Amino acid sequence: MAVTYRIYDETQATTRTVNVEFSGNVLAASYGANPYTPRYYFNITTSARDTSNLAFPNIVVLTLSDKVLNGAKQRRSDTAAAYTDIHDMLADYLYDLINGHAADLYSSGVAYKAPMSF
Amino acid sequence: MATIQVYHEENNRTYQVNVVLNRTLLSDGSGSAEEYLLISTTIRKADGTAFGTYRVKDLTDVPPGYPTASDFTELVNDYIEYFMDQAQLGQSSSSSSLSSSSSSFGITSSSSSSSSPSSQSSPSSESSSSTSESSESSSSTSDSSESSSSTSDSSESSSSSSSL
Repeated sequence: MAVTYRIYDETQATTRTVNVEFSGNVLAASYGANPYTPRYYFNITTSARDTSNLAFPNIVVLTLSDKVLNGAKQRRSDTAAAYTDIHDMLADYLYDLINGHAADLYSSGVAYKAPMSF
Repeated sequence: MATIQVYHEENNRTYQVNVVLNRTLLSDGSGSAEEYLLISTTIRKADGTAFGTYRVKDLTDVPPGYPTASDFTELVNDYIEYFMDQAQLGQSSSSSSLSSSSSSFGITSSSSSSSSPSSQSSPSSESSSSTSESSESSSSTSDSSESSSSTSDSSESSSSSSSL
């Protein structure tokens, strides 16, 4: 069961959607560290595109310490603390998807990310 | 939704542990919608009663007696272990034990948005309530009025700019 977020842009009068699913699978990218071990994670997906007309990659969040800016910082404030709960984590990831971020925001070392296109 | 199959080879039965993401208002919440996991199982306790449905808001919402989890994999695995331990699935006349549970029970994991609970009876009325809650979650966003705008979800494609 996924949770779907609808994002409305007043200027363009358009709505985008972001889906969040909790899943359990063997993750190919972490095969070397955890061979054959299922991992449980939040999978954030959207068919929306950024302002450069590029698709957003799927986002995997394994723990509340997985901060959106390069794993180092939260997006909505300059803090390196882990998210307090699932709601806090998803709100930050959604905010970053919608607004993008500047390069090295909060000295996180993160690359530039364009905002969502409406 | 993550569905974990737990196979008990000694009675040839398969149980399920279901983990569902929900987003609703909470009766003990702040008044705004919150996201949380609901963990339920078809495993029965040793006395035959059903487990309740467990609500998880953060990594401290672990089974009774367990320490804070480091990630959601550890948290889900803790619940699986807790259910199996409380059900005494590992206690049998054979030589198998919980310590060898990884081989005694075929724990597999899959994720599916369309999986339904097994034909076995649901754990409790709480579980059935979770089903209704999860159905609510799909339409619980406060943006519903916004969805009445001229652009539908499908406009997210590259053709979205053509809409209003």
